[in-house]
Amino acid sequence: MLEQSPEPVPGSKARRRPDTGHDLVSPSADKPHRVWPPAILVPVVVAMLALLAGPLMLIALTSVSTGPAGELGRGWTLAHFGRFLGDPYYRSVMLATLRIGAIVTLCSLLLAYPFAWWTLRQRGWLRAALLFAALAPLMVTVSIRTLGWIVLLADNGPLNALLSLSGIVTGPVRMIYTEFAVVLGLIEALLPFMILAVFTALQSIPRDVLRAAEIAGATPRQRFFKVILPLSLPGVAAGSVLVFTLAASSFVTPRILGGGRTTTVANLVVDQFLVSLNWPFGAAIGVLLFVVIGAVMALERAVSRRLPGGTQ
Amino acid sequence: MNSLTENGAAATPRPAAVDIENLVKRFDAQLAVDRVSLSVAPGEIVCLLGPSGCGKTTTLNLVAGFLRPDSGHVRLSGRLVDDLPPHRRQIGMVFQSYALFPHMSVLDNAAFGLTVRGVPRRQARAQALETLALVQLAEYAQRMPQQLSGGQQQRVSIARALAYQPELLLLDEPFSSLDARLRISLRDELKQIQRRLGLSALFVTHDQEEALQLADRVVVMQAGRIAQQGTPHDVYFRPDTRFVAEFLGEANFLPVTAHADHQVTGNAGTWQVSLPAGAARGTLMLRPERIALCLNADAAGGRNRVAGRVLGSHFRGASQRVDVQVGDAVWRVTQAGFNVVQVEPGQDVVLAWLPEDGRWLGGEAGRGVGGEVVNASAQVDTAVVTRRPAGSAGDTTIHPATTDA
Repeated sequence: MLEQSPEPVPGSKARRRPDTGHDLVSPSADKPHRVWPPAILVPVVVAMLALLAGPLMLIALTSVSTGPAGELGRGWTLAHFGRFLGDPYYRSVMLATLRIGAIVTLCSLLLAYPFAWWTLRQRGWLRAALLFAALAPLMVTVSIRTLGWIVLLADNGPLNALLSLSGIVTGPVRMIYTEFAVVLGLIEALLPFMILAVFTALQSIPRDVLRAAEIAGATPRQRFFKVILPLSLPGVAAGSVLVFTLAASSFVTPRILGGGRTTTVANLVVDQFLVSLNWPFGAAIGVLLFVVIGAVMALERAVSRRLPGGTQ
Repeated sequence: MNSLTENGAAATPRPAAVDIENLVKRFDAQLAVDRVSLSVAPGEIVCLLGPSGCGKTTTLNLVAGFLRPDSGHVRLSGRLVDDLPPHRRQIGMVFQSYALFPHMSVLDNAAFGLTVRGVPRRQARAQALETLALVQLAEYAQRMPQQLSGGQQQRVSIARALAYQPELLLLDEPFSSLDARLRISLRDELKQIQRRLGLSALFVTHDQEEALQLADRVVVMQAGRIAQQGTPHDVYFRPDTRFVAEFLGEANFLPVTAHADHQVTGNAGTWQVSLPAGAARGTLMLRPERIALCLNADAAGGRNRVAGRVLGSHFRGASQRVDVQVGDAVWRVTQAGFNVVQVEPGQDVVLAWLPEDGRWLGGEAGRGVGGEVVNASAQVDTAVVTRRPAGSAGDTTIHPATTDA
């Protein structure tokens, strides 16, 4: 394709010679950077290959093998995938997982957006305190947090006591070990990620752009819908994909708060590996979840590439 | 009150486009805007000029309504707007950062002020396209802002500010992030548009050349206060203080003692200059380009004159600067055009100037800058940097005890 490059004059290459001499002085000038990572990245690359890519390959191979407990090389089959997709029960678990992911994502977004916007407009200690409060859930280990919900949502817990005291209900309402409890627990656990993503996006909108909208006559409502919201969409998309991914693949929270009644795909995988000892089937389910979440992420990328400033 | 050398606005029958009365704005302990009063007449461009941190941008933000004053009032076309939020003030504004909406096309950017006012889409677009044509960007209407150059983006931002025909245009250092050549051409373009539309504009800049060229009236600010306001010609040639003189361009400052009959004595002679009543010790300001370099006393004619010896000259393209040793001080002379006299270092020359080209700066003004011995070679280049008074000591220098009678 060299012939098609837009060289106006054949001799122009020779004329550019002085520039190449200049390149020696400033090596960053024209040439693209080396493709190979510098030596400092070697440890992380090795770690990623050994701890992530390797096991993933192993799982993928297991999912198509015939042998029972991870014995590879006996033969290959797609039957495990067929079994999952053909069984209405498994399909319903997959749907429930996606539904929980979607609800958690939506609720987190609705909670996080106003909080992030309001926090951004605060100054000094209040802003620091709000951000600290938003991130606090990350500092408590998942089991402690989840056990807290069990106490709170129990049939004879404080929430039910409050409800019957106020006379809204007569008997205890079943909250613990329901999908509601799972959603609640996941929202609490994943809200910080959404807040951070939205906060960062809102923070990156230049003040002058908001002022330009204001002085041009836009009411607060118009400023939000015509400027702030569209410009924060990349952050909304990033936060959503993060929360959805974590919610859809979560395992501990649904396990404890769902009480076995609400099973998610991640729990199916665990059961197949640890209880049924059917590793290939467990691996196939894992691969399917991986593919579904990957598809959601691809969708997010496709969408945010069309958004303003969305050039991830 | 500040020295209001010119206030044409008060005499006009139409109310001033902007009328600012005793504005005060404090940020924590710092007084950002200190009792600033000024007005912009209909069809007038007023430039707020000053170093960074002098309160000019704060003043603009107070007019826009982004900030609320601690005291004082802002009137737009005679209407008190103290309680009006920015979006209801009918103002157009151009920002240094362009501040275009990156998710909207050039056309939608230009039409923004119309669409938020409820103008039907079709009409808004037609009107926006017209305004884009005004800044010669009609053919770029469908592009996205980031596909345009900096100069084009700033023109879009001007179009966005003009499309809804605001009563007032505010410009906050609009050309500061553009390169020099583009800055000048956009400046010309803006002036043309402003004249054509009869716009009233308040323009903030730290570039004195920009202010002098664009403004009908220049308001020089220093440490939150108005140091001087007047026509560009006035503030340039008849500054009230040394700060104003130095901020607007190169100048020679000579410590002098005043006598009767408008005579002053400096380190190397006695000269004529217009003096206010009661003048004693002070500074004589001379613009380098108003001093004629003469080869002998005869050529100096009947003007003020002083003998000196050439130290060297500096070629600057359109002009040439000559440093001349006069007594213990170095004077700077700028020659341009047909009047360039070729001189050699070491050559004896006579410097001559008309009495009206000298400007007496009051004694307090002279003291306020530290009372240094005038040594132009050291001072002129550092003028802008060193002219920041520290704290209250500097404040006293802003208001000269005397102005011309």
